[in-house]
Amino acid sequence: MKFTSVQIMEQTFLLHPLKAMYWVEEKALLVADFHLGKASHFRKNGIAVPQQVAYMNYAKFNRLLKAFPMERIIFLGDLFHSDHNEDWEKFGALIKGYGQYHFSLISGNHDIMARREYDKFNIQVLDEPYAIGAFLLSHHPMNEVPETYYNLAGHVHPSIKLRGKARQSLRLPCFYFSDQNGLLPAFGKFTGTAIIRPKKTDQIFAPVSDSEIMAF
Amino acid sequence: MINRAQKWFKEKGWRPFPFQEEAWESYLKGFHGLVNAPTGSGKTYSLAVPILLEYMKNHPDKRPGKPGLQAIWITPIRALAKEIQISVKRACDAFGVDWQVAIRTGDTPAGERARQKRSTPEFLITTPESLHLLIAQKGYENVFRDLKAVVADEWHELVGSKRGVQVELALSRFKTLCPQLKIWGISATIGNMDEALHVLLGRDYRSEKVKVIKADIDKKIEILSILPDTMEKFPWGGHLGIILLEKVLPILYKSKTTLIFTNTRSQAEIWYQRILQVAPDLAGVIAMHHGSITKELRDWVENALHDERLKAVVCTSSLDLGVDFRPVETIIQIGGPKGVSRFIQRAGRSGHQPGAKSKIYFVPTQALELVEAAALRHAIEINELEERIPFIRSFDVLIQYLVTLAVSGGFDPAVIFPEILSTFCYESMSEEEWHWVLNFITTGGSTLNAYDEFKKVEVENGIFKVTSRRTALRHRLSIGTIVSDSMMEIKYLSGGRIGAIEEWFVASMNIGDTFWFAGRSLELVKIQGMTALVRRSEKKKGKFPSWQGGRLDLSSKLSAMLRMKLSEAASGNSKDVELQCIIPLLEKQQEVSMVPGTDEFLIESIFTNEGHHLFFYPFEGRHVHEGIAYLLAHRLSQIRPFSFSIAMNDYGFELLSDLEIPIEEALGMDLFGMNDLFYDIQASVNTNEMARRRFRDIASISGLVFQGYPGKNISNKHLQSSSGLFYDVYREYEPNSLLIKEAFEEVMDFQLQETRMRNALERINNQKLILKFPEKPTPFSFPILVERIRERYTSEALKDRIKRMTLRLERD
Repeated sequence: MKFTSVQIMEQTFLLHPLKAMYWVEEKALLVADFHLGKASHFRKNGIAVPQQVAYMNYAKFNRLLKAFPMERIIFLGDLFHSDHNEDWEKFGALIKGYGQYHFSLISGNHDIMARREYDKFNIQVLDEPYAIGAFLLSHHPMNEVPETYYNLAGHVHPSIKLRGKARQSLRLPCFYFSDQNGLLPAFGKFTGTAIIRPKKTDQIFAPVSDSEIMAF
Repeated sequence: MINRAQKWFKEKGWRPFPFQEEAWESYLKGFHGLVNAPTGSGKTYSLAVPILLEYMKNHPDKRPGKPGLQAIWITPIRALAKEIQISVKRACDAFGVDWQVAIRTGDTPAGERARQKRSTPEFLITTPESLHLLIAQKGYENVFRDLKAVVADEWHELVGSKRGVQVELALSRFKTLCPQLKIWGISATIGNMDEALHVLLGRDYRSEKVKVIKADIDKKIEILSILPDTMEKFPWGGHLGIILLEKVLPILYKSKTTLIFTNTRSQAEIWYQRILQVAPDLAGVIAMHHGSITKELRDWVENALHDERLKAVVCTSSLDLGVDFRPVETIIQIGGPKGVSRFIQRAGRSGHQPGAKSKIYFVPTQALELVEAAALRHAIEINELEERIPFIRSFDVLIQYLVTLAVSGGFDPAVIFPEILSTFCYESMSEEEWHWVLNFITTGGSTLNAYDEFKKVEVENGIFKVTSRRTALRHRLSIGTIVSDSMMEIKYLSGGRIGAIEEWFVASMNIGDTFWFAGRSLELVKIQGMTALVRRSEKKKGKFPSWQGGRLDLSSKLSAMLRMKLSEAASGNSKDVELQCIIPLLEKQQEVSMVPGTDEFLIESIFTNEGHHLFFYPFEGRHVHEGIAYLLAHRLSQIRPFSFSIAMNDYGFELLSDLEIPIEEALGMDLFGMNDLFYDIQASVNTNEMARRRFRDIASISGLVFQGYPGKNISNKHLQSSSGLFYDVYREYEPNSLLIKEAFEEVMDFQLQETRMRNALERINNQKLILKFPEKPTPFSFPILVERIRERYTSEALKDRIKRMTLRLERD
């Protein structure tokens, strides 16, 4: 597969159509808003979300882990949807198979489980913003980014609205990059999106299938 | 016994109507039935009286201790409860029956509810939702044990809705608990009276002790259209009708009290505002009434109407039903009412002497609506009333009901299944479907592994029950079948609620913006959670809020009349003033395109910088048009992939594409053909948004989507989702779910009305297809062209669509 590549502050990022981003120099995979366990959380509370939803997320994630030469995986918040349920154990079993990688989580508003649950699977929990070089990684987008820094965040579940001739319109989840802020689309299935209105100078990339991304 | 009632009527100086006496007799003889009588005709006493008489007969000693709940009176709207209570109490006093006559609705305060729990009233006036809440209480069987009668008032309002299904389900339970139960309905005239009774009684409809009693109270209705002086300046499109305001004012001044009915809430806001602008002297004596204004404000308006303190009220369907406003002299209808029954109902809102004519003024909002007025007049003359199509196989309501029973202390499927099968709604449910439903509430549908933690209804010794208190609480808060958009409350900064407005409208405004609501100019000051805080503004310019919500659909009865009247107008020899008035418009249409005769079907093809527009005119109502539009879109896509924007009104519809549509080629290929019709309809429904829209209510009623409730302090923020997400994952992973199937069945039954669509296509097939290429939009096409509410159909791959269609990203 050919990946769309983006240059930010002299670093190279490859955008994956499954809605994650690979940082070439750091050999790091960035994933925002996984919302693992959301389906099971609903089910535990008597709301019948089809169980397969959870499995699709695992399968997608598995594909991602095999896509790049990886050293670390960083979740930009909202990794797990709510309090503990069985999905966490399944996820644990999955990432145990990738023990050679380093997993870390920048804590989001949904990440409410006890610290020991993350420790159990060797997931390092970090507070936001977390700096790597000139990049500040966070869950919530930063309103004010210090000069010479760039913020990469999740939380928003960004999407764009396209309009065309003959009154056509379309909504697509997207990656968004402005001067100092980048937003990742939500990785998880069964999550909604919020429409953003980019400025002229912003760069937008939207997955249009499981294997293709278009630039706007 | 009947003598007692006759004597009381005589003392009061009343004379019983024949239908009342017939109802008394039939009830006392043990019949079930339906009283067909209009509002304000003494219908309450037709059934309240015999319920009391029978009780007196069975309890001659007068003081038998607490007899328990004897009768339930179900009303669709809370506002009616008070008046029924007063009437029933009056009868109790007259007969010396020492009953508690109580009201139990969503407005009943907690104290009163607790009191009713301690001491069961004998006569309870309630709504379908509150009735189900009572069934959700532990030990509910004891409360209903002594029940003798259930009356479903305004049954015509309930029968075509899922609230009617709620009534059916409650009755199915009561029939087992109280074998002596008598079931009666009260209904205004509708096109399917017998079916309405069948829905109410379920399997008992076939018994011999069943009767329909008809009140022969004939109301004459005169329709007076407000006509524009010239057609030249009258708009071809639009929904407002403000242009005729000057002609409406004299009517207001002349009449003591006037009700002005509009079709939407935002139209009511605009009319109210504009009336005050041109007639400031009416300030203080005109008011507004619609469903999003707080109950307090609405109560105030209703009382003021009653006390003759108001000159006019601009209202929506919120005043279609409700207390009898005797002072109301005049009714004005703005815009096509789209149905004969609704129009008659509204005309009947004016108080008048029995036998006198009801006058109703009709204000058209666009030229072609004048034809609708003539059609209405004719429909009323020949008494063609619409049917109310009952819901069948509503699995969402069944799921809700079963969880209600599970919350109340549990149910045994062996007892409940036969009860459910005895209803009209679930008559055709198979045992397999029943097991699907039980499985859905206990395991959450198909389970794939042993670790699944789904928990809602549990089974203990064969009894299905809910043990989690949180689940029970959440369920009680969700009982009901009326689903609304996410609403924000509007409150003054200084305190005091004004009403509710849809969240998206608030989101479209900035702090400091002004908008009109409840006739006031308000400035948005702050947004706090789900509350919009406002203060009064002096600004005279502001946005008018709009509420989403389905547009009314022209009924099939009225559309048939409409086609007839249109050809009458085209022939030029019509007696209706509206049709004479519209002749210049038809001449213009004839000049630039054509006016199709009864044996012709017109298609107009127009190119603009938006793309290629095709207009079709079946005159069948917007729902059927939507169905045919999707069908054609699907068939055209067999030639090549297309993306269409679709718009429709009650007269026709439009397909718009950025590419040229090969219409001549398609007509040659039998575009309207009946071959493979069923398959093509299915295929087009599969790809469009109709089922998704239907699923919104279904997801909410079946408990998938929990909106959360303002003021109720339960944490559920991790359980919020949207019906759209559910629809997507169900379509993808559990396409055989009965809830998905229900959404599609509802599309076929209510939206497309498959038989109606089939009939329309057959008619078109027998007509001569005429394709015209006007230079510019025509009088017929213009109102559709400017329609803002649009649907989409696409058969193109996402990426092709984006690449080829030059979709632009909206940027700041």
